[in-house]
Amino acid sequence: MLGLRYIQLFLVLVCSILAAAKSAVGSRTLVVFDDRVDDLSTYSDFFNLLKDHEFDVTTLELSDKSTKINLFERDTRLYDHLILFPVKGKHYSKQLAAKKLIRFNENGGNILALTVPQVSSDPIHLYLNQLGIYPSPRTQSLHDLFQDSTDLLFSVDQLENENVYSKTNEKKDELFNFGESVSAALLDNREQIVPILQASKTSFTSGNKSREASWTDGSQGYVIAGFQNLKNTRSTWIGSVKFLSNNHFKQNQDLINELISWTLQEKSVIKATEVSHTHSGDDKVSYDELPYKVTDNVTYTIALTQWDGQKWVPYVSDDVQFELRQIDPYYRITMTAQGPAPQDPASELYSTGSFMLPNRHGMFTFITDYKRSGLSYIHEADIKAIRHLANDEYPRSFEIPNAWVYLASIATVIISFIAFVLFFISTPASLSEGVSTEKKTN
Amino acid sequence: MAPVIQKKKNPASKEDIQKDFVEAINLSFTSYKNQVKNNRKLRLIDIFGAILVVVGIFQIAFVGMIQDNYPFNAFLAGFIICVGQFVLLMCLRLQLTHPFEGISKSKAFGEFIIASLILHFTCLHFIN
Amino acid sequence: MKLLKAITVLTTAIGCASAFIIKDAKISFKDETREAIELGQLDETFMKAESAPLLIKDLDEVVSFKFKLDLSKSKSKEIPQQLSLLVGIADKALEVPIVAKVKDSSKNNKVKLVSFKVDLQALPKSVLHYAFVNDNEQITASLIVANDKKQLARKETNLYFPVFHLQFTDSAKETIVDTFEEPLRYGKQVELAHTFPNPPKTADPTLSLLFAGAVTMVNMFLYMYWINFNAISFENFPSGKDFIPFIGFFGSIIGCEIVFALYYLGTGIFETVNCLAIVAPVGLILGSKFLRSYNQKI
Repeated sequence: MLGLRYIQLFLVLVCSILAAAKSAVGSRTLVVFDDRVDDLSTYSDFFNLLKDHEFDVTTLELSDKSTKINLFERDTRLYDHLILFPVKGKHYSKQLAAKKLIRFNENGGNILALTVPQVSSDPIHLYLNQLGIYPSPRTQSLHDLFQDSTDLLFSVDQLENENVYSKTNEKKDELFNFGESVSAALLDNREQIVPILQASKTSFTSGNKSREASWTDGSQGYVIAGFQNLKNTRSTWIGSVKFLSNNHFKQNQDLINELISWTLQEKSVIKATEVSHTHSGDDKVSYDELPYKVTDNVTYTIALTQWDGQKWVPYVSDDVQFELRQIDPYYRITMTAQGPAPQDPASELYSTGSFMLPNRHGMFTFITDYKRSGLSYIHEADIKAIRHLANDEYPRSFEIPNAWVYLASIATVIISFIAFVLFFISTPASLSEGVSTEKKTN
Repeated sequence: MAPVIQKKKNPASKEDIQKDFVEAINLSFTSYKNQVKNNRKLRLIDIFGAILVVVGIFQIAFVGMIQDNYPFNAFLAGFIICVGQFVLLMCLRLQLTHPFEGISKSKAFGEFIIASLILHFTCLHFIN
Repeated sequence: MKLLKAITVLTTAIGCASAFIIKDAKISFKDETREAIELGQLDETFMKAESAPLLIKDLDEVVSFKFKLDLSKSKSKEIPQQLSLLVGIADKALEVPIVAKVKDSSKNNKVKLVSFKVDLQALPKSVLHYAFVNDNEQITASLIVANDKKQLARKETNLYFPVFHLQFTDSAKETIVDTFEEPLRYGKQVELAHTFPNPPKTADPTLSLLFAGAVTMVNMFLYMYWINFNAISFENFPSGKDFIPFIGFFGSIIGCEIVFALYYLGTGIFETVNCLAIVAPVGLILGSKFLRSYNQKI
């Protein structure tokens, strides 16, 4: 008995070493479920996985009408993550109204929502609709008549986002089991939506009535979709609850693990640590010391770092772009990675190299707007004035060969003028006085 | 009959105009000669003025030759000093031949010098 | 038992692998003069699609695809659960389903008359766009005929195969206006660089030197003419009590010009003003004094 315990302990330890990823934002997790829909004990493996990820899990059973859900206390978020199992009833709609969920998400809380075709979880549907994910209505569930088993299986090939689940060769023929009743969603055409798992071409949704129009057909439908708002908080919707159950856990573990990691911000989390721009050159004179003027040479650098589950590591990519804007972009430069930043070795330094500011003065924005589907967004903007040349910064006339002609004429005119004054005074007006007086009287 | 008369009249009038014109030119030329013959100061002024015109023309020719007016401010300064000096000289000349009432010739000369100095400063400032 | 199994296997093998039988398939066009294409009996091995795409000349073309679905050999005699035509760009997973119109045959109630109408104008703009832009991305129509497992006999298989491709002719591509715009997606954008105006060209220094020399020469002519035309004399040169004011007056003019020249060469404006404040009053006082006494001689 004791030996068994030790083995168990050992296994837990190994597991925690293997999968001990931590969220970059926090670990307080609330799981909301309804006993009438599902017994939570059938998901024990999933909860163990959450524990392995060091999440501090609180569960809340909602079949009792007196239960209250508090996501906030005096405007402070009580949880970092929210996992929503399907819940029945109106009570739930009041307690977890879509507005509350949006507020939670806008304030930095990540949401993992599960729906099933049998239960209409109105607030979750309303919330997802706000994001642009439209799961099939109640009774409509996904079918694929070309599959042999009654359970719906999805292959790795149908996964769409590398930042959520990276397909490596060894996982090529893996299949994920979603159980029998799966809902599929149509997705809006938004940049913030992260499509994750696409339905197969031969699939379709259908309801109880035989000739009811289908909600999705073929590859239009998605069974897993994510959303990342502009504050970098994430929501993920999964169209099946059996996907997480102990029966299929072994088969789905990989994907579940990655989904948790992505949604609860353990991976694909990047941020900018250091943004600077200086005059080009070895001494790196900053803007504060010497404001930029038109056609100055300037170098822009930004350092990016990525959360690998444990610590921050350099984020290396070849598509980080810088823009210099005054309403329209004047420059868009793909920056080159320079290796770890000297001040902060945990981040990768990117540099534009030296570029010449446009010959136009005004307020310019130095901006890195790095947004990729599935990765945290980076938006670093700095507005600086670029001045025009001062009056003594133009080339002097004698430096320009063309102006020599004009200079010579000015000089000769002035000298001639002086001579003229001298001669005008020294020369008597008339050769003979008589003519002169005659002229005067004229 | 009328057209014939007109035909006859027309060349006659043309000749008349030509004659008048030549006469007028000759007249003004001789009067100018008379004016200058006895006044050296006017000669000074006229020669200086003529040279200023030539210098101005040279500068325009230069711009035409290089097909570019860069640096435009320098060109303007160089050209304006010629034109301005010419205008001031002509004003002085006018006052020498037909003095304004209440303004003596020496006062006109003094004003000419002050105006010229201001012109020179402006042009030197403008050429950068 | 084994014998029974063997017999059933044998009979299905002899009969047909697929129990859905598609007969008298036919593709026709809106333009009735264009000849309809008879495809005959279809099964999954049908590869007509690969060989020749149907050419579309106009956007208001409607392609009809009709066939007789013989259910006499399938277990369920009802219309199959899934009976649709997927039209779109298969490689991009950009497809829309077209629902079939089904009629019972008058002769045989096990035979259904199935027809699909592919109205090109009703297709999504994105599908048309990719078909316009890339010749390799043809519009593919794939037929799906499928039933639930429970309603399928053993060995009976569902059908899913491409039937025909559509391709726009070059003249059609020229006349049809493509209003599709790619939806916004996060990603790398095209690099931009500011284009600077050309630096001002300067003339050959020797040319400008030549002209500068010419201008100076012209001024030399000035003195020459002055002397030539006898315009200069020193008869009136101030002397006696006029001499000193004259020197002051003339000197202050030269002084002013020198101050101007120094200003041009880089002296600050305030210093220049200070110098002028000294030179100019002296010039004014002495100048007016001189000119007043000299009035008669001008």
